[in-house]
Amino acid sequence: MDDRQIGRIVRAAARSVYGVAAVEGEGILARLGGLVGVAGGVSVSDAGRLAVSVNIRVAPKVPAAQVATNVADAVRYQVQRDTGRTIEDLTVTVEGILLPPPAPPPASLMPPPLPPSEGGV
Amino acid sequence: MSASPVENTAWDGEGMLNAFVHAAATLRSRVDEVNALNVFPVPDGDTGSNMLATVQAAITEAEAVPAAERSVPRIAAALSFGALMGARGNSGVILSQVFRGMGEAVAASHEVGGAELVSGFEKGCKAAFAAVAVPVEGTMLTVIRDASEAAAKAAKGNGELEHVLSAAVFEAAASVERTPSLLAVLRRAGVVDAGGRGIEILLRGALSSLRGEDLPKSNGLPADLN
Repeated sequence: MDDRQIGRIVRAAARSVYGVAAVEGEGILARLGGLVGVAGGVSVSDAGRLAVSVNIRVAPKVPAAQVATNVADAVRYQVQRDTGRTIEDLTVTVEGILLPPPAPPPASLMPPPLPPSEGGV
Repeated sequence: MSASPVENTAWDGEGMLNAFVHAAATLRSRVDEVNALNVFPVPDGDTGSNMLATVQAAITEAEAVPAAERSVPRIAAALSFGALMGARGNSGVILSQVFRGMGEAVAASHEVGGAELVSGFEKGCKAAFAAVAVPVEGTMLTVIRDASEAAAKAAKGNGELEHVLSAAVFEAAASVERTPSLLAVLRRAGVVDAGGRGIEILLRGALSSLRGEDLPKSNGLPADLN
């Protein structure tokens, strides 16, 4: 199993943990990687010893440290289960909180609707 | 623990704390049973212990509130904060979100009756689901949602706290039994969901408090979980 396949397992394991809103790295390249299906936010190095790092964003108001610990447990378990390999060096980084998009302004602050068109283009 | 002056009809702050103490004691008496069910998401046999540690952290924070200040909002805020700070494991993080939502629901309440319990369930359920990208059915989230919906339905006919809480307990138990039909890993292992069972047990403990029943005996766990 190559690094990319292990990366996909890591990514799936991290995403399955309660409180994880996204698995993604910093920077445009890492995020583009996530968009096209490669393991954005996950790095795997297998030069003799298996080293993994995973970057997450957490949902608002969850205990981030505990969520990160749960990610570590899930990643170790699923990599061991699916590959038989033991991760010897694992880093979980909380990049931040994935905030929901801002709510639209109240109707009272919205401009009045345009009058219906009376013909023409 | 002193009895609440509004026991059986509504909880004041002290009564609510007492319900949590009963819930924790009930879970403590069955924690090995819950741990033995733990096969998802990581089968490390600690769901019951994690839930118990989280609830105990909530109680410890609430018990630090001076007796004269034990209003519903104050106790609810302390329970919420304690659970957030002491959350352990996936199940503990989920519980911390449920308690947070419940705390927000009663932030302006003088007591917790059937209507406030329904509101607490609904907000707790909403908070719990808000922190997960893809909810997995057949887990404690499912049980929380089913119990919440049953409480709301029961309250339409009879808004008494005991009636509403009993309905939640009844549906939680039924929902737990359905979890293997929703989650293949449970079905393969021949178990129900551990976190769901933990939720059912916590609700049973709260109901036993409301009914003035004695605390269950400890199962001999270490002092930090007692």
